[in-house]
Amino acid sequence: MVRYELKKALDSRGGKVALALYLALVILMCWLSVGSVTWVDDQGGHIKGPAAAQKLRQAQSQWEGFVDQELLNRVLQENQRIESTPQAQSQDVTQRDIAFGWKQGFAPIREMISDSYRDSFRDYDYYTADRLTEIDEQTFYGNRIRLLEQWLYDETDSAFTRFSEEEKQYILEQYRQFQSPVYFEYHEGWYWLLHNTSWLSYEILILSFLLAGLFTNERKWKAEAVYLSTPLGRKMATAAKVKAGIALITLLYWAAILVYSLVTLGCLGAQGGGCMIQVRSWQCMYNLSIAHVWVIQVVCGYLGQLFLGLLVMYTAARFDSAPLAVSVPFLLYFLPGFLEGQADWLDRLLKLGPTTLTDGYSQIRSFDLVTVFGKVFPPLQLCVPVYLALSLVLIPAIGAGFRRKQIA
Amino acid sequence: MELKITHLTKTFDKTTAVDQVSYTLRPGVYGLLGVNGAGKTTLMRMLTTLIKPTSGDITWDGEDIFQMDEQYRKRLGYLPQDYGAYPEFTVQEYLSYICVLKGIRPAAAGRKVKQVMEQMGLQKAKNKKMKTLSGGMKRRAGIAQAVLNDPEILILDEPTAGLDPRERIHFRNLISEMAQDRIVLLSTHIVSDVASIANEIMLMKDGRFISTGTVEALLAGSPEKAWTCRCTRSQAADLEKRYKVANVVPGTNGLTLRLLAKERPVEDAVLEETTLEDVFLSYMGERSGDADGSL
Ligand SMILES: Nc1ncnc2c1ncn2[C@@H]1O[C@H](COP(=O)(O)OP(=O)(O)O)[C@@H](O)[C@H]1O
Ligand SMILES: [Mg+2]
Repeated sequence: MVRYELKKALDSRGGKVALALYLALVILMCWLSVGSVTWVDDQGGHIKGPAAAQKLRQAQSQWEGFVDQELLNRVLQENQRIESTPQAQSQDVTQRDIAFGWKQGFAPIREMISDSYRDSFRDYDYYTADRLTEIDEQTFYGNRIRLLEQWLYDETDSAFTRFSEEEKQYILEQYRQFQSPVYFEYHEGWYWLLHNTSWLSYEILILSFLLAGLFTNERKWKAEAVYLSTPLGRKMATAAKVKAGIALITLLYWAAILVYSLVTLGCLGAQGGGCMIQVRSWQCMYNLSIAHVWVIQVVCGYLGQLFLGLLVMYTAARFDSAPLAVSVPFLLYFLPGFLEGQADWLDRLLKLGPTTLTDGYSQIRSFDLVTVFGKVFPPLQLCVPVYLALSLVLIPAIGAGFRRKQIA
Repeated sequence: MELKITHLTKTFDKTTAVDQVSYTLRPGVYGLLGVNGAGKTTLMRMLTTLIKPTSGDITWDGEDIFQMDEQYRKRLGYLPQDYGAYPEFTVQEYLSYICVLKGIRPAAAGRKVKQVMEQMGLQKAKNKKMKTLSGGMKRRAGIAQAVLNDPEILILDEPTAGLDPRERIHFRNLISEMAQDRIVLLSTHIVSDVASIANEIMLMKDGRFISTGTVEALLAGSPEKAWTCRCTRSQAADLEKRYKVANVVPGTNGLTLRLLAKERPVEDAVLEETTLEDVFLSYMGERSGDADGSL
């Protein structure tokens, strides 16, 4: 029965259009990721894609290792050497690009230095590392927590009131647990894989047309009267619709993840997933590797898609309206943007919206926290059980709505 | 095998579509005859569990059909008035799918689909998509799906609407073949569809059964008799105002009218044998010609 439901959904022209759009989305994601890696060669020319990744990997292999006193010294010295060359001093863009090109092997470490030696938590100056004359491992890592503390307890900064004392302690504790020194190696494949995964959350906007159609097409095709007057139509076949919907969400999501990650890691290299996220997001408070963040993003993303998909199906079955059903995820995606900053309680609620799940990467980089009964949680940690429970409630509710349907 | 309706009523907002209908159906062919809006479709939707009655009961061998739920629908075959199917399915896929919905085991389903396609003359179209079928072929597929489970109750809502005369005859023969040992209820607003094949006819108007029984009983109980008379055009216009006119035949000098009247309408009128169409018109027709009443 599930097979027939999938056939109904996918064989129609709308189904084919949705699949084509979906494929386009995955291709776009692959193209964005693979095209994100650039390499500047000795002549100042730019290349992109797998060839650039290959060059960058070679260059960065020279700088692989724990970011400790020794490596920091090497980076700073090499950076200063390059800065003093005529190319770096030149006013000519191409000459400067050539100088920039020489730094690519250690660029992420150089940026960590700029990140660490910033003036205050909120300031960032890309050129800080170029002005630094000496570096010390203790200070390099210590700056992180020192600046954070300053920021959290600065009465002139909005952070002072934004966080409760418990929340401040929570963030500080996360920072304290950060293990230094961090390990550095080439990780562009994983980084861009993670960076563009959240595009996949738009799949639900496409998929919702198929999901709503599962329930509204019976009437559109005038097949409803026969369907609901058959012995199994109301119970088993309606359950098959729900199953088909879940199968569509699940299969398409994981197929997209599989294709996208194979293409991205295949073109850009699969090494470096173990690097800490702080190598690229210095201030991130969660102590996770890039690959780990990606897994969280993907798994939470799936749960978010599943929930939104079930909500679309529920709306379609309950109100018998495809336009209404497909507008549900649109509203949930775009409404929070309009409502943000209107009221404190609303902001707090928005943090727990289903789109929190579909953008785990942003969540992990943000300082958003929710306090429930005096305990501090990252929003994601609350959203997972809440939306899992809501999804489990929705599944039987979808069928119940459609099963009792009357045709008049 | 007894489908019993008691005081069945369905009200939509203001309209009462079915009004206190009681009737008992046993195996045989029943013709539900009424003009558009009489309540035929609403009645059938209740009999197929698609809508719940406002009041009254429907029982199958004494058991409430809404309680029986799946057990009742197992015995049911239904062709809705506004029938449609999955546009991208081929005829064969479609019928196989309906077998699944009807809980027919896969082993039996293949055979059944083949047999029904032969019976309905659908073999040639079996690999055609439903959306490409002509009106007549689509209707055949509609009847085919209804009979896949050998239903004890076969409900066909205006099955002949839109069919050409040849298909209509073919269809009437099909019904007669299928009528063995089951209840066949078909609705129509066309008298000739049911006159020859129905064992019993229910005349429905404004949600009520206004006359029921065999063709003979209906004829005998007709409130008016049929008469023919010859007259001029001006006389005809006058008569049309006072009587229901079943037929007008233009002649060389004047017209021949077939009128319905309790008493002889004019001096030289000749009493004719009443037909079912006359009865239908007598109950349903407005004076000066209701198109639905005459074929
Ligand atoms: N869903 C509905 N809502 C409101 N009125 C309805 C609905 N369905 C049918 N009716 C009304 O009930 C009456 C009977 O309709 P129907 O059963 O379709 O008659 P028939 O099939 O004999 O043409 C009509 O007056 C129609 O307008
Ligand atoms: Mg009707």
